[in-house]
Amino acid sequence: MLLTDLVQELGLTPLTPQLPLDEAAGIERAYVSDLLSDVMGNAPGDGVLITVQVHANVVAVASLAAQKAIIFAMNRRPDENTCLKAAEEGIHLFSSSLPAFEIAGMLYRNGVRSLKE
Amino acid sequence: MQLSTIISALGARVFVNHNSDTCEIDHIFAGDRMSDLLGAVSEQMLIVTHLSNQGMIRLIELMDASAICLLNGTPPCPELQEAAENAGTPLIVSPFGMYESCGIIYSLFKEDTSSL
Amino acid sequence: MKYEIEAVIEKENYSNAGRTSRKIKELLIQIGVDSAIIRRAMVALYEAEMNVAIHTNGGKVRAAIASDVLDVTIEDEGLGIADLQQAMTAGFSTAPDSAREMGFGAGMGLPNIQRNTDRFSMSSTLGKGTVMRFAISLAPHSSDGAVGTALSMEPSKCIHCLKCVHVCPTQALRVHRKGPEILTHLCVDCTACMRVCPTGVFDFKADHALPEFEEGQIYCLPEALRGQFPLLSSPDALRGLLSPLTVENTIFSHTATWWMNGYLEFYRKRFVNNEFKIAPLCPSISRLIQLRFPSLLPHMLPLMTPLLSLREKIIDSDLVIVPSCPAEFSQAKGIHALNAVHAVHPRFFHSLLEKRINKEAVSQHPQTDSFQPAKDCLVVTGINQVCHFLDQIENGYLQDAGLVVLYACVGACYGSPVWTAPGAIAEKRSRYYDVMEGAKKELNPLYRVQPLMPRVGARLDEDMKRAIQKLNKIDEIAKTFPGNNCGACGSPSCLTHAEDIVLARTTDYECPFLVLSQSNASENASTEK
Repeated sequence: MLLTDLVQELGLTPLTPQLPLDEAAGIERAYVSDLLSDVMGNAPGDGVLITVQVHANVVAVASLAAQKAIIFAMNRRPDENTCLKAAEEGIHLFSSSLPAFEIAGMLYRNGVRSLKE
Repeated sequence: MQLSTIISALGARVFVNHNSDTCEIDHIFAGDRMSDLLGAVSEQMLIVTHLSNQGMIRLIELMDASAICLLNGTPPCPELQEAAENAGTPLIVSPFGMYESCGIIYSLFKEDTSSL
Repeated sequence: MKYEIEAVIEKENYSNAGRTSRKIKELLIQIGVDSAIIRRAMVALYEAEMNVAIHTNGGKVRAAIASDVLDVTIEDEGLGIADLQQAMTAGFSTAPDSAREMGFGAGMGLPNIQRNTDRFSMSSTLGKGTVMRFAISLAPHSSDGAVGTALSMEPSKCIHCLKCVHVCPTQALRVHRKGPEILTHLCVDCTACMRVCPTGVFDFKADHALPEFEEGQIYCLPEALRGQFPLLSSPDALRGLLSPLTVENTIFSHTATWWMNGYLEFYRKRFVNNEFKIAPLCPSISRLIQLRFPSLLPHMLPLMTPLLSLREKIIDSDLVIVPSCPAEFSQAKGIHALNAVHAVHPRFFHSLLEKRINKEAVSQHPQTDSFQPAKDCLVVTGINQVCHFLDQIENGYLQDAGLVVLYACVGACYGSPVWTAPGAIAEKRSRYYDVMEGAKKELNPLYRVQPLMPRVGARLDEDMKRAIQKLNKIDEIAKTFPGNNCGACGSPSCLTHAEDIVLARTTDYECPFLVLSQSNASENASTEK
């Protein structure tokens, strides 16, 4: 699934507008968790992380776990600095009004899975 | 939707089986923040979470959640089972992670449009 | 009858935190409290317990259940909170990673507690700790925080003079054939209608009797009461006529205004700029701003109104409050406390004093420290003036207004329509005595932790599409009216009359002015023939 389609389909608000969307390749995997140690240990690489965790560390952890994007559910938004840091790391941040369950469900129905091969 | 439908779709292990065949689920909440869970709990709600610690025990004791689904095939600790047993809350464990579990349950609801 | 429970919360003992909540839950079940209310109580209690366990060196939780209220006090020993407002912001968190991995520390705890309680206050001393206090009403209906009006009416007294319709600042009044009607969602309890009504249709339903006197009861009297008679301006003289009242059990509302003034002076010294800020003294003004000037809400200072500050400070006593207007009355009524709150009508006190006063006595005025309002504060009184002032502010004029104090009544609370003595003289009389008695002097105003939210007043329909349809219809109907806003139909303007028709608030579709002028025209035509 292309990032641009993802944004359209889910009606996401980009929080890192400085990162161009069209150049980004598709999203194949996704992961839902609000516990940073879990994300670090288990999130599949090159995926999108769905979380309500807006703590500044989330970007550092996502970067370590090689995530392409983070979708913040339930209208949560990290602060300005966290967004800037993410842009530097090349991680797309989005905000959505939907809860994590629905975001996950919609992605799942678009064929995105979390399992590592 | 019946909880039993969700259990069989996930292939979940049932640890506390208090009236899980009559238990109706209308809402799902997935997340690991205690404040979110506390704020979200309502009637006929299945909570999908990684948390299986003391906090969850309190949530079960205090909030009368309808049903709890833990993840990744990890069995709950005996204290948590006991709390669910005492509170009469069905406790199941999905073999999948949160993302897949949500995806499967979401698809169930979408296919069974009558219950959404 | 009161049931109390007290327990210790240990530092970082996450597994014990929640035990007290569980005990209280069992109690609430035994009493038979509604499960939705139990749930609210549990969210607030458990979050509060975890807060202490995570952030402090431990603390104490005390809960009491009585007369349909669960009242909880949580004291901790910790660093204290430097910025209460910031701490209340959703998402703000200083929790350690250990707590975060437990699923806590999302910065939603305090907002969660506040959302699920009916009364909430917090005070913190840096380096010492924080005291949090909240209450939840256990009666099923009162938990939705519905807004309404405290005004009561006697429609039979109405003589259809339409004065009230024209003075209402929020267009909340209609006069029908059978008498006036208040659109409660628009009323801000400002007393404009009370003041102009020649026959006394409007009032509020406070008791017209004193509750039985009990030990520990505190009387909270309005300042203006002392100014009603020339001989009563001394607090002692007043108390002399009301036998159970002593220095210990009487507090004048002025005391709380004084706290507020102290804060305002401090504020002036700290922020010398002329930034526009509103001091929330008059509860009716706060409601007016919520309803009609929501864009000005960020300019409200984060303080509780004096009456609410006062109530919070003496919450452990049975209170006898004499509210000086319906707005204060509704605040007094909205108190969710363990102890009884009696609201006695000021007119009752007035007539009581009138009977007992010795009119031959000579008044003496020993001069003491007279009260000074905060210096350099702009004071605007009277609801019309206030509305005009706020309109100007909203239109971008008066940027240099600085700190302002607004009152709905002309001459502040001394000018409430419940009083018979003119506001100016009542104020002058009560000025002679300093009523800051005893230890009450050192108290401060309390911070309002809960932001004031805009109040939805004039929404035409839940559904936006239908609302727009209605809007068009209203315009269409309004065009058929003369547009002179005479009020003869009982609505304040031609536009509101059209709105009333569309929203089915009235069945009188005709415009009396048009009917009259048409019949005049036809009469003229027939006489010409």
